[in-house]
Amino acid sequence: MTDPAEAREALAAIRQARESVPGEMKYPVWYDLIYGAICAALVGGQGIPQPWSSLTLAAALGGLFGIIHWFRRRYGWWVSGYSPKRARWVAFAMVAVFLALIAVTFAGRDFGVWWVPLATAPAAFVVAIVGSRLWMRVWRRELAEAAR
Amino acid sequence: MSAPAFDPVIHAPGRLQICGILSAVDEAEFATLRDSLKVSDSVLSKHLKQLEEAGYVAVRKLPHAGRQRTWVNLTPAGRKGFAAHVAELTRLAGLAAAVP
Repeated sequence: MTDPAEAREALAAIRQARESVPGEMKYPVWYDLIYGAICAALVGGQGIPQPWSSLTLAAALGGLFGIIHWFRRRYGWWVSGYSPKRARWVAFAMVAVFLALIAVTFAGRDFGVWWVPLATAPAAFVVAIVGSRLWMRVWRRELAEAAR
Repeated sequence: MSAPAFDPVIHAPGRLQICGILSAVDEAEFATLRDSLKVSDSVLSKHLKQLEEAGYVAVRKLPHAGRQRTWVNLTPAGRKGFAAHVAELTRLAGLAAAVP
């Protein structure tokens, strides 16, 4: 193939196909809230005594598995937060913030500051929701710009 | 950035779109691909078979509610081949822009 017009048409077809994946997808508010709650539990759960800390961790990981399963079944595709070249940096930043919050939570537990999880868990909740929406926005833009 | 390389296996319209979708995600379900491409099951199966034989996609069947669901993903070779093909298309499309 040497025809530039055909090449442009092919690129347009690819762009359209890529953009069709998220499409007009509007995932429900409860998805955000549950994801935020899971992240809050992962962070805040580190500041409570055993065995509740381990139980919270297990429940949060189970919840994470559950919403991933729901998403795959509902939309018929899956993309990890770390796969897209540009959007993955949002995911890395979120992990960095969560690790920092977990470190603060651990420190609070070690120093006997009981209210620390009450601050870090809501912070994780907000970071999770804002971060996931930001990730989706960056990813959509990344898809739109691909093959352009 | 992959070196531009035209790939006739990828370039066929249906397969180009399949690779386009799969390049955007980790994996997609057969029904999602079929609905996006607006083709029949048999046409999609044929395209997937050709891509699978070229080593560009991997197909796996997962049980769900007593039925089997088919999930498809691009292999590393598929991602590389598709990236090279897109680079070639971009190069060709750029030729027209370069002509005064």
